[in-house]
Amino acid sequence: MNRLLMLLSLKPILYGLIGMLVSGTVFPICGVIIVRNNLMPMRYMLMHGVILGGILSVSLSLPLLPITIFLNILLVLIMVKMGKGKDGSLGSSSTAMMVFTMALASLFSHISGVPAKDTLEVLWGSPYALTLWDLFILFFLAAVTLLYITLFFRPLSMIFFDKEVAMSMGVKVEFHNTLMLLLTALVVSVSMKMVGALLIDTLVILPVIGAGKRAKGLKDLFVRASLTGFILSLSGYFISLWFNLPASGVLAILSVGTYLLESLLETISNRRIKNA
Amino acid sequence: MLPLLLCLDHVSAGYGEKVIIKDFSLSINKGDHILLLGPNGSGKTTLFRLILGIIQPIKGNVLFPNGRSVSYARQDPPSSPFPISVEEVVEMGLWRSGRDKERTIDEALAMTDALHLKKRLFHSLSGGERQRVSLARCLAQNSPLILLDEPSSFLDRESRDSFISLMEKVATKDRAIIAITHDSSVIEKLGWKEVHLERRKDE
Repeated sequence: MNRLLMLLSLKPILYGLIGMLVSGTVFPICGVIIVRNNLMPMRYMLMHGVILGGILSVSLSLPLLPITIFLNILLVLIMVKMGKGKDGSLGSSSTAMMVFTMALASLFSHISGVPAKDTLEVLWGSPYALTLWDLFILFFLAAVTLLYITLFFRPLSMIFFDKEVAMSMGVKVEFHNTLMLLLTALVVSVSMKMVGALLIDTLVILPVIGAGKRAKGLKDLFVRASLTGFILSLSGYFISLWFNLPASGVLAILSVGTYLLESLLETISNRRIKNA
Repeated sequence: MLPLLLCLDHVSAGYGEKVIIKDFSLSINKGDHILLLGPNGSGKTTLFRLILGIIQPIKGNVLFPNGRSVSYARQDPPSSPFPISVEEVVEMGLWRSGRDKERTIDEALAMTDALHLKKRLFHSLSGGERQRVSLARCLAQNSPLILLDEPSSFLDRESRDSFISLMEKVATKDRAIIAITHDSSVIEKLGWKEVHLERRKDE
């Protein structure tokens, strides 16, 4: 216990804890948007945007987070401008942008001679690397996300339910779609600092998919996903600290475990209903 | 004469270059109950999208003398496994409304004989139950005009008969209803005024 208290008195450890708890609680809310709006391909594109941002940041010696946020917002705006496919999804345009960002990342890496090991920080992330400035950005993003979901819960629930019904009731569907894409871009960019580009799903998606197994409605899904994210972040962070393991890896293992547990509980619950 | 709710004045509509409806006029008064009939491709759903403001007319005017207030239930209510409860679906009808939430939701669900489904997840309902809940959402919205797009198309015979009785029950003088249908039993049993759309020959 004394060791933990001693560790928490260190700024990087304390900033890491605050960062993990805030993002673990709030980012799954954005995960609901990603899962419901089927933004998985776009999320891949944003993860690749994060890698390009990382390489640009290392090669130009610029701060990582602002570069990544700027790049991902730019990618989303280009993707929206490129327009939707015939099936109404953003799959085609996000795939094109994903390949484009990786091509640029490869070229920049080669031209500027960035050593591959320097990009590992981008791929795996670390909450201990959070600066005070990163925390300000994180708090701002968390506040914006909570405010957006709270103020627009009904129109958003209509869009989640049925876009045509939402339009028929006067909801500005295109406007909200763009806002949700931009919010996703910001959340993916900031998550990268915490858990790295490769494990963003750990923080954003898995708590939602797990919570969705037994949620009793949309509000319940938001609450369960946030609560799951909070518990996972808290436990993952302390386990990684205690055993001196990478936080992202521990969190990912716990997230997958929670998902499997939720799946098991869902199966048991369904069997009970069937037998009743 | 009951108040005029909607006037379609020589409207033409379509998608891109393709004109689906040409020079069509219709007036809807409060208390009108209309069945919109016609073959596939004749523009029934396009007409609904026009009334709902989802698309704009190429020519002519869509007029709402008292402002646009329309509720709409689509042919195939979404059934993807995403957790939205029946209560939350009906609550959507209360957007921008100051009415008492709990009471309005209960009344709308009771009116459509679906109060017992209130805590269920929407995607877990049968086709007939989903239609009832969609209608409850329309009632909660309290619009003077309800549009129903083929409400009986995915129902078995028993559910269909039950839904026809429900449509008779909600078709009061306080509200107008326009329902698209191909179902001869619905046409026969409801006996509402019929409006026919023809498929354009020059397509």
